Amino acid sequence: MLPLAVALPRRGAWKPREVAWIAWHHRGVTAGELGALVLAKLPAGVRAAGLDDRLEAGLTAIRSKWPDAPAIGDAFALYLADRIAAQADLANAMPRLRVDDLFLAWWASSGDARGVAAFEAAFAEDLRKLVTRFHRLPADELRQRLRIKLFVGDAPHVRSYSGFGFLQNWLKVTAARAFVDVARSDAAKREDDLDDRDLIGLAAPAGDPRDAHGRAEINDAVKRAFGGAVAALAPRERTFLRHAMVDQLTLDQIAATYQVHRATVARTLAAAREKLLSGTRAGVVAILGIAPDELASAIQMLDSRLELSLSRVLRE
Amino acid sequence: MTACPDDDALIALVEHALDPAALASLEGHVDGCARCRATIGHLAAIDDGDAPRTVGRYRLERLLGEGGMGVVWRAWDPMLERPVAIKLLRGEHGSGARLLREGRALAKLAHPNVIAVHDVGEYDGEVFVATELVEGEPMHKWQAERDAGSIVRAYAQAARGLAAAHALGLVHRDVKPSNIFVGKDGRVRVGDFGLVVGDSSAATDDTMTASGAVVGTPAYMAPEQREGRATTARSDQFSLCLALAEALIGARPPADASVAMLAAGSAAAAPWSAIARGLARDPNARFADMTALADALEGAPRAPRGRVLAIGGALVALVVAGAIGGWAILSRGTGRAQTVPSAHDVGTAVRASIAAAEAHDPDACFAAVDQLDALGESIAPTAAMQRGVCEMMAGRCDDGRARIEDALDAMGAARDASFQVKMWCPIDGDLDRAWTQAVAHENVAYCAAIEADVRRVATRPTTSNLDRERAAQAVGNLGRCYALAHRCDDANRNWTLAAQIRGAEIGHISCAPR
Repeated sequence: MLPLAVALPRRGAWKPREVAWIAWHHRGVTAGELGALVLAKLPAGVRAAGLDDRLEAGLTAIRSKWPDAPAIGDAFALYLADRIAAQADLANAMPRLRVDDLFLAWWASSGDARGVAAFEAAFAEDLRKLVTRFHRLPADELRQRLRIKLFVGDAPHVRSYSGFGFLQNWLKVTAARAFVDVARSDAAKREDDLDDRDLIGLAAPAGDPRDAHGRAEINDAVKRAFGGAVAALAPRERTFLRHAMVDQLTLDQIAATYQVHRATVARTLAAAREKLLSGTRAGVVAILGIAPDELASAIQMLDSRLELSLSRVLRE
Repeated sequence: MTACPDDDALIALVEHALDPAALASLEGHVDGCARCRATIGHLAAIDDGDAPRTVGRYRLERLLGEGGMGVVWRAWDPMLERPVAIKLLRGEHGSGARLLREGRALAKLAHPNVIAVHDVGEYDGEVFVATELVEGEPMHKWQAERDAGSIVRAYAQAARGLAAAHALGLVHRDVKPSNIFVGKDGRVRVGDFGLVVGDSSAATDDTMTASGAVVGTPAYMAPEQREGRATTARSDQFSLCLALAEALIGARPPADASVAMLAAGSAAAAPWSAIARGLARDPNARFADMTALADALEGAPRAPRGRVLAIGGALVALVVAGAIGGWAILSRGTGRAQTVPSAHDVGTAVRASIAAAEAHDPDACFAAVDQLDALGESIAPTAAMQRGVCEMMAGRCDDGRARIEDALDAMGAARDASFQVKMWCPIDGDLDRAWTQAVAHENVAYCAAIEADVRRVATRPTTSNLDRERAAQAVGNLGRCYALAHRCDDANRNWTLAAQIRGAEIGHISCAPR
């Protein structure tokens, strides 16, 4: 074993035989030794101050979390060095270097099924929650697609995790993006299975005297008025409304995401709803060219369906 | 349209660490980009506040529990390479300074039966306490499977730990089974010292959050604490004895419970006289200190295994109702040499009540109550309480609740009718919770699972408008449950029923067929 004090003066000048010797001792590699291996692979001029602390923390975590993980040696040191070298603002980013997370990404993408299993076990809860959100899609297929994207092929996507910041959060973002894309292409394929025309038909009481032509006219007017009212909202109003209606987020979730107070979210949503309703009413009256009280009953009939139409328009 | 945010920006968003300028530009972008908005929506929806982060030098790993005052994390101390528990106090309680003071005092306390406080500090405006992480179980779980002797010995250990804290002038104020931990090594440790704000209003607050099991219930409070009078070390003694009695009997006895009352509640031999002394309403009548209590508990005979209440969960409420009624009878009897009905007669009547409950048969329930009434004046509170349960069973929730509360008042016990309410009037109890779960998980299986119960309760005849409105709400919620799963036929069926219950037209409807 080479203590760091011995290793450091030799930085950048390791002979292949010495490196191989250290690698041979890889199973119980110390932070100092791993540091030496990494430093040997860094391009000249890269200063990795604070690396030892990160390696120390990382190795401890790796051993406690995955006692039967493969030995750490040259290959992982190279992987680590590549990512350190790729970091633009190394001095500031170093405290965020996560050696254990990076190891898991490397292990899972190395063709070792145990690595994939360890990866999936580590983030099972997050994936479960996320998959549940996409209940229109078959869960197994979502998981399989993500697995292929992350771990399979010449350039497994998990290798693009930089090692700075938590892998868990990187995975949440990656998986959410992948699933959203699947859901969007799926929705495009199916087209919308329900047309607003049907809504009007559903909303009209049975035996309604209005003729089909009248309904189609109201349908069209509502649609246009609605679209206009949505477009007239402030961007934030539209975004919060979409999060609330389409994504079914709670006030607290919206507030946390956009770092505003819960009350602000509530106010914004209330204002947006009010504008939408009054905007739609005014728009329908203007489009059909009738007096407001003449349309009151028709609008009333539509109000109960408004939320549904709303979420459909907002989704676009 | 601006370019989609890169992974780093979204990761920062997940960690709630995006700077304001980047956040503003992101907000501008998502207005025009449905793809990014949906992604952010899903990320926000699965965010339960446990995205990994660090507090001081500790890396938070897993949320262990959450309560009214704060959250507890399992964390890793990289400096000393050991797992710790980190308790983060919510800022609004304004008790940060107090917590820091108490934490520092506790950090000086090293006792095998007290969870060791390693570190106290402030980070990012939050006060945190780092403590020893106990691998084991909280007492309320541990004791469920233990015999009376082991339970008594464990509580005696907890008493030793509390005695050490009292010696430093620290009063726990929130002694309860979930604050006592039993390690895998069998060693008992008392935790969560001084994390409760001392005044009683804080405790009420905690109850009202009703988020579940973790923190703050006044159920174990000593009478003087409940009434807002001075809380002393002897208040902790009362709470500990109350928890112990509950562990042995399966129900919480009232203050001033007599030895006979306690012993009647359990077949196990236990140091009932010591427990009864700790349960004295007058603090001066309790033991001088925790050490004396611990000695008394440990001097007790080693008892064979024996828990009385091996009765199916659905019946527990009724048995508890009977047991509490029993306290009142027996305490009168012992206090004033009054004739009491024989245990055999009471037992027969209670068994009849249980049979009625099993059969969901309100008529049989009323018959059993009549049987109890016939046993004389002294049994009246029990009978009155039981009658309340029968009313609920018959669907008259408000009447039932009123009767139970009156009966509890008559006995001088706390008005805690919640267990009966949950059991027999589930529309304002468990079914609401089940529905909340269904919505949270968007899983139609939850809706279907509660449907039979909701409809059974909701369609029972009632003359109370309030009950009717609750029923309509529950059924309407059931409809919404299905609507979330896009099962519109099922949703409409329930919304129609809700409208029928209300005697009104079917109201606001929103369901998108799949």
